[in-house]
Amino acid sequence: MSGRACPQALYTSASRTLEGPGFGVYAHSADWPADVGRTRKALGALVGFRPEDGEAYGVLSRGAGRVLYRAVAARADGFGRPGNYLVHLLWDEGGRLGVRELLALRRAGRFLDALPEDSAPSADLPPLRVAFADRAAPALTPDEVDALTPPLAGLLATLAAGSGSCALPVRTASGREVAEVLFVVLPRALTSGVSLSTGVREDVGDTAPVGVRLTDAPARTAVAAHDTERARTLLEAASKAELAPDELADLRRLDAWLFADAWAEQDAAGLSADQVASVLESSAAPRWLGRGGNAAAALDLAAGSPAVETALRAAVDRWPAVAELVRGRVLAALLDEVFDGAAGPAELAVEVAGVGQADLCAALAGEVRRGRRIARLDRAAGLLVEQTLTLGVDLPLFRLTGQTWELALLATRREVVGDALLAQWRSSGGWTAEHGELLGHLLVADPGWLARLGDAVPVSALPPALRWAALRMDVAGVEELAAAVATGAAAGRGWALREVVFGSELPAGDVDQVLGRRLELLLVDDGWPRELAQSFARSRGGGDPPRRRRRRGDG
Amino acid sequence: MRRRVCPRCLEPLTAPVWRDATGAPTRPPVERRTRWQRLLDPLRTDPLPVPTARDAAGAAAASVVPTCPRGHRLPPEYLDRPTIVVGLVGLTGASKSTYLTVLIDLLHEGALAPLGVSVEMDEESAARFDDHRYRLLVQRQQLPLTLPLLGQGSSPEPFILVLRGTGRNGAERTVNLVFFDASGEQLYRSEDMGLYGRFLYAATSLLVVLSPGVFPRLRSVADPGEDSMGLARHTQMVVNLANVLRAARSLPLDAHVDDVATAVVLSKADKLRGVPDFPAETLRDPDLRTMPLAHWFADVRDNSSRLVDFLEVSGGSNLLTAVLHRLPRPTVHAVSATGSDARDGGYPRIAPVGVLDPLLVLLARSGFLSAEGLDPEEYGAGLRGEWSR
Repeated sequence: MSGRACPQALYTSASRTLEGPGFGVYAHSADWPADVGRTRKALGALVGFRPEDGEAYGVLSRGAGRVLYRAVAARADGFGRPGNYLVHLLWDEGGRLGVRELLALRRAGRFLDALPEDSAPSADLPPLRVAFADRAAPALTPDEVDALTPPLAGLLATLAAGSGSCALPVRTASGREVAEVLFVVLPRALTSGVSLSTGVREDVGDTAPVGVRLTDAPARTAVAAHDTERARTLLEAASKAELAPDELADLRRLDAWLFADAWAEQDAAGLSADQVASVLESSAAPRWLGRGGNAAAALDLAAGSPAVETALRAAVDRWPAVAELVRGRVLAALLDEVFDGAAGPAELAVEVAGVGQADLCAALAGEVRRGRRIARLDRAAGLLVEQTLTLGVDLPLFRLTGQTWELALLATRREVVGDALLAQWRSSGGWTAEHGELLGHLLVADPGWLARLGDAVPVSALPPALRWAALRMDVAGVEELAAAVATGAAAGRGWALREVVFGSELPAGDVDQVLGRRLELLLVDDGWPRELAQSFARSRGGGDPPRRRRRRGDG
Repeated sequence: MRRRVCPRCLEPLTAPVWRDATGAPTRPPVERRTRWQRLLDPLRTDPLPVPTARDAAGAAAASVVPTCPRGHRLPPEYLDRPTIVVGLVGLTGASKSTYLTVLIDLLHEGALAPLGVSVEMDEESAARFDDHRYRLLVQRQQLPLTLPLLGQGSSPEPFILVLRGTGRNGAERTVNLVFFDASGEQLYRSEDMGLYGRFLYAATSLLVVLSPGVFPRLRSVADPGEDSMGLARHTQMVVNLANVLRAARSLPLDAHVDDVATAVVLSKADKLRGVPDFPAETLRDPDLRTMPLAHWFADVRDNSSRLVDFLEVSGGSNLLTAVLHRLPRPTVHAVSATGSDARDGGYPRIAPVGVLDPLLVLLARSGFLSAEGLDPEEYGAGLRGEWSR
């Protein structure tokens, strides 16, 4: 990162300032923001200082920008009076500079201690080039880690709260500058919203959410009041020259950097949602997800935790193995829902896994081929079957489900299913009891199947199927099936009359009605000469065909 | 009764609000009364009596103190006495703080004793004054500059004194003397005076401090920094001050202000002793034990005229015109608070001269002292104001 040119301003007491004699703004850059203040009145408490304090410095936020300042007791003013002081202010419009730069500027002596000898009041002070501060891991002894842990824990607690203020000691008992260490150890992005000041400050219009006060004697806070594990681990890592990346902008990501490996050794049941998210963001994610029920747990957690959801999505994008794993878990859950009526995965999980319709259809076919059967071929499952076939997936219908009647209905009502069934029937070769059962259901659903199947059904298999179907049909159905037999490929064998009409075991009156209407056809099918059959049938008279309906709903 | 104001926030008030240690309003302490007095209370039409000193002491012991409505603590019996609010006005480096420190020290040392007047100081004021006094009068170090106020609507912390004397009829007369010393930077622009100098709105007496080095023909005695200030800035300060005084009283800008008196202090006058035409005899101290006050005031009046003449020929005509015509009842006094110039931040000795004069005039103008001899044409039947009763 490169540095920034910062407009600057100087406030002090002099015989001449831009505001007249005495205290006033002595000089400022041409682009020093008027909002921050170009006069004593506008700057207000920002230029307040007690010279007996010797020095004060800080960084604060004003809108999107930041003000870095240092006030220092100065020599007598232009009137020879003691008690003068100088405030040197810098403005960073982009708000990129922070505590590190403040401390670096102070350390390097780039804040003025006094007005330059040959200076004069000016509204055209050149801006000051401020480089982003270097970051080097501090060498810390175990004692220093002990001493710095409580203040860092306090600061981390304030950062976790998102707003507030905390006090830090200026230095440890061993003389270590506390702020210098803490703001190097902490990632820059995490402290971008932190202001810092020394001593007690008036309200200076600081808009930073978190304020840090450096004091010689901050109020003691019980160590137990804050979680010190994070602070100590961070300091210990820093002492080993391991610094958390500057891009880590929140504590959860910092925790991921610090603790993810340890958390990855535990299963999901022992971790909080944030911890799971941290593990998922770490390089341990593939290994952790592949262990036990962690993938399923992570998918469940994602529904209620945006952090877990985000981390899981990122892991899916980042690791092909994770993507495959999550996809497999979600697909398996979807298939459980289809085949067994299980609850199924959340929609979010399906979205995260990236499982689409084609994936599910292909998986459905694969499962069926492996012998799995749909327990309940309801409307939703039927739609999936129809869509699978529409997509051209080779779905074996004969082994699809034990609900033969539902399958027969689906094949009858949905053209693509019926066509697929017909094709598979013709290509299947051989004849099994399953064929016979399905044929019976198909005939009950629609006698037209007799003609559609044609020679795909061995003639020898027809009589039992016809009788089975007729037994389950009402008068109209029996009549329709009998007609189909008598006019179909198996005509002339008398099965229309004997297997269908008589096999239906309808009451004599109902049989008599069918005979009355279809006697000639039935007699011809039974081998009677056509003329004789006509004559006989005419002598009996006929009637209107009744409305067709299924007699019994069982299969 | 004159208008009372809180010496800190300058809010007008007629009765104190008593507060306990937590700041909560509480009942004022009263003397234990008889049953008959209690029965008479409902018939009273005048306000309840103001707590006595004894009441106040008891209340203080119980952490119950009188305050203004905003919660600022009032000194004991503060509202029993009339108050003279004295505002010091002058630009940066005029020696306001140095003058005030020496003046208060002289008052404490008994400078008014020949007039039968004793001086006490409020405890809080005394604590702050000690720091100034120790540095200037014991260590003989220059006082640090007075820091400008940065919170808008604020006033500097005052020094509160109580003057006690005996009236002509033998009765005790007392007065609160409240001094406000502000930074010169905020006594120039009207806006600053309004934002940071609220005491100017309540002031009944003004001490306008001018350094001789700002007058064109006296540049040779100018302190570092003074020569760059220019007389116009001082003139503008006087004009702005005059406007503020009138605005505070809702008066037109050219109206007469009859309840304020002005003493113009020509500070650092010891440096003028070698200047040609300077009336050196104007820089001296009154011997109040031997000279009647009326005679002394006659000298003051004469000296004031001579100093005006001297400053006019020193190039200060414009400033003097503004002072004499726009500030109420002005007199001019030659003063040296320390008697010598500071070198390397310290004074070889502290030998004040003429420091008391301006205050004596202001006390007379306000009626606490007899003004006989000060304004012969105006002086009438004796003391004026509420001390004349």
